[in-house]
Amino acid sequence: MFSERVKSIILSLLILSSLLMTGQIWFNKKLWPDGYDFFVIYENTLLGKIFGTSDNEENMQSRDKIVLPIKMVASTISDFDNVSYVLTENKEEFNTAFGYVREVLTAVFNKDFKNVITTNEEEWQQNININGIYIDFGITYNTLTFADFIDAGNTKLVANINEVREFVIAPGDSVTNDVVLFIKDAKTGSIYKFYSGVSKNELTGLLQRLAGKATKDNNFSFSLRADKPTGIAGEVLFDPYMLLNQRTQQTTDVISKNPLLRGSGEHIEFNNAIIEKILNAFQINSNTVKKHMDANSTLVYVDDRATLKISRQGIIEYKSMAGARGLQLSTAKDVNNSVVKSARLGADFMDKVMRACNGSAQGIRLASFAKNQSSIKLGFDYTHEGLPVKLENNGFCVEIEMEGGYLKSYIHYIRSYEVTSVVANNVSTYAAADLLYNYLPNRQDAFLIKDMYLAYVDDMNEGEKKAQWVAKVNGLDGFITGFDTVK
Amino acid sequence: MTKKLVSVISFMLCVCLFTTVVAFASPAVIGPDETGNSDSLIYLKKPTTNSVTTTERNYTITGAGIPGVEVTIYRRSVFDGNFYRVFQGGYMLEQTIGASGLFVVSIELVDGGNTIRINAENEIERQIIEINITRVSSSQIERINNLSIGDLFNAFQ
Repeated sequence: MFSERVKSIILSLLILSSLLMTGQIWFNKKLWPDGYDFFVIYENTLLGKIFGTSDNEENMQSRDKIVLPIKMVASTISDFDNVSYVLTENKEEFNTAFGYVREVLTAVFNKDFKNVITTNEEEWQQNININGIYIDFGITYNTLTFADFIDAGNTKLVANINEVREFVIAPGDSVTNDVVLFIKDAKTGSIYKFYSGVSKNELTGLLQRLAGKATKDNNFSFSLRADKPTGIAGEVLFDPYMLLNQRTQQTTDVISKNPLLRGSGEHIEFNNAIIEKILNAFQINSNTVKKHMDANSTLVYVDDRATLKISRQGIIEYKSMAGARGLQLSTAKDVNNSVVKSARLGADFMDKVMRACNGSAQGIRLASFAKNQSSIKLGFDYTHEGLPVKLENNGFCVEIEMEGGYLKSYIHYIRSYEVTSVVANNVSTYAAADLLYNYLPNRQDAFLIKDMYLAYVDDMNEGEKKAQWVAKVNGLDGFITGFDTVK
Repeated sequence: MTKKLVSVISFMLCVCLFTTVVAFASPAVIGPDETGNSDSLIYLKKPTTNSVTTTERNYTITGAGIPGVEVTIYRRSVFDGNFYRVFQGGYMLEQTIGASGLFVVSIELVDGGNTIRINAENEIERQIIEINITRVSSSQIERINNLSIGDLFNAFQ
């Protein structure tokens, strides 16, 4: 009798676990062909939520990607040479290295320093070039805002440092077992040196491991004095902290797909199941909302709060009506006063829309941040294979405006990027600079290249995209592209 | 007669061809007393002086110059004092300055003194810059840096 009961219990547990596993496969791994909507309809129902996982843990990371470096370079000595290793998101050491960087940043921002040490550009550059990690977040933050983002909101550093963007961490000298953090005030240019209290063993171990992969190929412009003019007419100068690579670089082509559409040839149409999920994400009732299709075949939904447009190019555009507060993403009262909470809400919502659209990119990163009196504006770019994805029109892949816990406006270029097996060789930074010079109108004065890097440039058409050189030149708006593909 | 004419023309063509080639190619050897006729084809950015000390095995020389100028690196031979073109990895250290005007060359150093000449030339002008790069080992640098007042006193006892 007892054994029969045990058998029944075990059998019941086995049946239940197989149902849960099947639900995982069906609703989480999405093993159905495109356009087969049966399971999609039930995915967000109670059954779908019980037997599936509605939130894949990988997709809940956007809020952590609000503060990510656009450039992280580890430098050390190997075989008597200065070598460096560029840590991009697709490198296996990236998470370890950035986790360590955050630990040091948080330690310093949380500490109360009795004496604040200033240093000079020479020491800053020496540590970047010889033995340290250089981090550029790409965006200039108010010190308090940055501290909030790394959960060190009560920082005392704000008394000395106005704005931050670039940091250097380096092992301390042989006397202390400490890691030193250098912070450059982005507003004044002053450089401060802080002893973090974090043991340097992990940092030295990390630098030793990276030394095996580091090369002499990448050099900071300042180490070559490529930022210093010689007086020659029309001379090209490079920003001191720009990386110059002497060698050709290999990149992989990617295919850009619009997941909002399905079908092929003349039978391309909107994927109604995904449109339904988008409407749900924006809390729009498809039965009561006013809807029409405009002359460009863009779906337009209008309710009393906002307008939502979904274009065939894969652009979702949401705008709250004048006087309306927008889509409420949080009822918490403290969101109104917290830039960080507001930004994280926006990033979480972006995740939700990406999941609704089956969009995917290997990464997504904050590329622009602006705060005015009542609202914040965030701009995100996709990243793929460690390279940013830039839109040809100079816009961001995602633009969000938040006012407290409310979404005021939202523009999202939905895409899925898949890697191909096609490998391309891209010219060196120097050759790219030559091409850029020939591409721009004749210049008599020296011109400064603020930044130049390889990126996937998306012209908003589906298809194969190659990595291209993009450049930011002092005095010219936006970024310049296409100069390395001109025949 | 025809044969003679053809052979004379061929000979003239060869002379023209070879002189043209010789005129544009940098020489294989530069004598210690050779100088150029210009000082404005290129300007060095790194090194900033004509004499530097480094611990690096590979030293990167950078500069700016007029596009189209051919820059060739020579190293002085300890045997005869002449300067010979440098080959590394099977390639000659030579570069034609591109539109951006920047040139970058990395040269592998030997321990001790390295006397280098940078030869820049185009069709009508030539510039030669000589630099001395002394490579010391990092342990030597550490010994120098770690010398204390006590060490100096001990040295005089």
